Amino acid sequence: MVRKQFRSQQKGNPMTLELHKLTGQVEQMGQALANQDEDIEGKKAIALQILEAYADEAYLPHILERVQDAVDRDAGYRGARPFDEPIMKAFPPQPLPPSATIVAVDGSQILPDTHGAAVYYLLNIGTIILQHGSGEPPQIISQPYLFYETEYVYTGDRGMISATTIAARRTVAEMQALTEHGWRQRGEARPLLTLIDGPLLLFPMSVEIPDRDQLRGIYFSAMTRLLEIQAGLAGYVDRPSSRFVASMLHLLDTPPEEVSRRSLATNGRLEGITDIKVYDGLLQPAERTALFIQMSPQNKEFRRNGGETHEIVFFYMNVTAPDESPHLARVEIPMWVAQDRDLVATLQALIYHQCQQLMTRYPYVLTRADELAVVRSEETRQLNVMIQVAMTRYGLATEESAKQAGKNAARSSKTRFKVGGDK
Amino acid sequence: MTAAWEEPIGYVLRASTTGFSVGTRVNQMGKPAFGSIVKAQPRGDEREWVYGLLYDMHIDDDPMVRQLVLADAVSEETIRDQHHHRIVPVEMNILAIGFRGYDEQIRHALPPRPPLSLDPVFLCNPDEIREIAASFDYFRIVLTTSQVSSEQLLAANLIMAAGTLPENEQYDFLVRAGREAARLLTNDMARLDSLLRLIYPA
Repeated sequence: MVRKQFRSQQKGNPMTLELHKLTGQVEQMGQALANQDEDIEGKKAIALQILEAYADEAYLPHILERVQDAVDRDAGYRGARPFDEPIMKAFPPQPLPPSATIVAVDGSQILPDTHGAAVYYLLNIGTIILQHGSGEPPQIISQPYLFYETEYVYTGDRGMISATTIAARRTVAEMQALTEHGWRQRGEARPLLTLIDGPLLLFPMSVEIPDRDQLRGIYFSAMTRLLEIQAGLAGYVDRPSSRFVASMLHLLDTPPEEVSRRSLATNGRLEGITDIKVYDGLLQPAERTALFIQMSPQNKEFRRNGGETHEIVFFYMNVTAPDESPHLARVEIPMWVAQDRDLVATLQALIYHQCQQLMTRYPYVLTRADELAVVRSEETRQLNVMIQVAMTRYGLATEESAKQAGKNAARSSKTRFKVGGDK
Repeated sequence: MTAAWEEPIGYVLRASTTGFSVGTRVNQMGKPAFGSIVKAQPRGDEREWVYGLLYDMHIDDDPMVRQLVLADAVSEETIRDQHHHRIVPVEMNILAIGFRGYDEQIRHALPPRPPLSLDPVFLCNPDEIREIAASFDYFRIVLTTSQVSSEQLLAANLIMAAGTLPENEQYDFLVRAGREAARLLTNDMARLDSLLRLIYPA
């Protein structure tokens, strides 16, 4: 067996990472992570004490007052604000509807390569439309978009656009695809769940994104089109590391007179604990937490530009099967969905059902949308060949940079002489 | 409604003069069976039609299928999605037993060249099956192959071929086929016994 492994390593490229030099560092890393874990358990106990202290519905006005006070003091509060439900209560889903329409979207990209024969980038959007309860195969769509014009691949000062810009354009393209296909399904079985992989809240559109205002506008108008057909829009975040509820508990743990930017810069004695750690063990399979609103500038902008209906609300839900360890995901929904609690509970049932299709406990439709969207390295290579052929046809030089050619030569597979040739 | 032999059951994945592999979708698996006579038909060029016996069908897994198998509550839509859209790799292996040459005659011998990748593969229609089974010259190729339980394969094929004949001719056909097999397997009574038991009318 050892000899076989040795041979297979020899056949491929030589390994450059000297693993034996990492043994000590890996050991230290394991030790440090174990210590962190012990520390987190202690913090979880504190978080649960605070959660229990404010669990009663009667405390809701007080919590809202404390959050408003932090906002008024301009203390940089970025935590959660309860919507209208007790913060420790668990909410079961509705029974699974006999029929529903689910549209799920995911995207991927090929980033520009300055050393390639041509500078371009590609977005590929995968969509799956599943008629839940029909017994019919779903409809699947994979739509690539190639961008090569100067205004798309360069910034105003002729610099190459950043990966952040492409990620923002991809997010907006995903929302557009969700809207386009969701709109076409408006006459099909209800409820209509339109699901996206990741948060609904756009990440901060920094100045490095040249078309940020335009992208925001497209995103909000796509959401508005989904509102027009009363779609159950949701963003699904697996393994979230968010600390919005932990920040809220820290705020409640801080005396009102001490609330300031400095005291809220960290989560104090709860620093490091995530929301899913707080709720881990409090939710039965398929149950969700209370609804919360994230107090961030991005969400404020959603409310300002899209209106009250576009403000983003979130909850955590346990998507694990009975008798399995809890697996919590964060689900983001717009306010128009949050205001219809029956719709929330039905979406919860549909998302849970999707998560039961695979042992990974990740929604099947999102797994398939990802599979439809992903661009493999071999496909990138083939696309590059197609582009080179097209360029040659129009008399253009198609050489890679010397750097890329050198890398290709160094990284390519080795061949071994064999008597009689390769069989 | 089209007959089973009018639509391709798959396309050639790889081939040699001794046989070929056919890739197909799960929803096309209903027609071909172990022992079926199939033909790889060249796309409009002058190559021969290659005939063969289907001796193996297998379905490979992938990580997602493994996940689905372990999950408890897989919905019908999910299964249909896997069957209709995902590239669930279904592969059929064919043992070459003959070819139709330029003179339109079928020869029970290995073809002069293999079919090409992506050539469509069809089930043979009853006329072609009768034409091929009119001579038992392909028995030797089947019985000497080491890739498969050859008597199982030949028996499955003979029962199918008999089914294309009028009922009053089927028994005689199987008796003649059994005699030819006995001639070829004179030194291997165990295999002959197994074959004869398999084709003996119920």
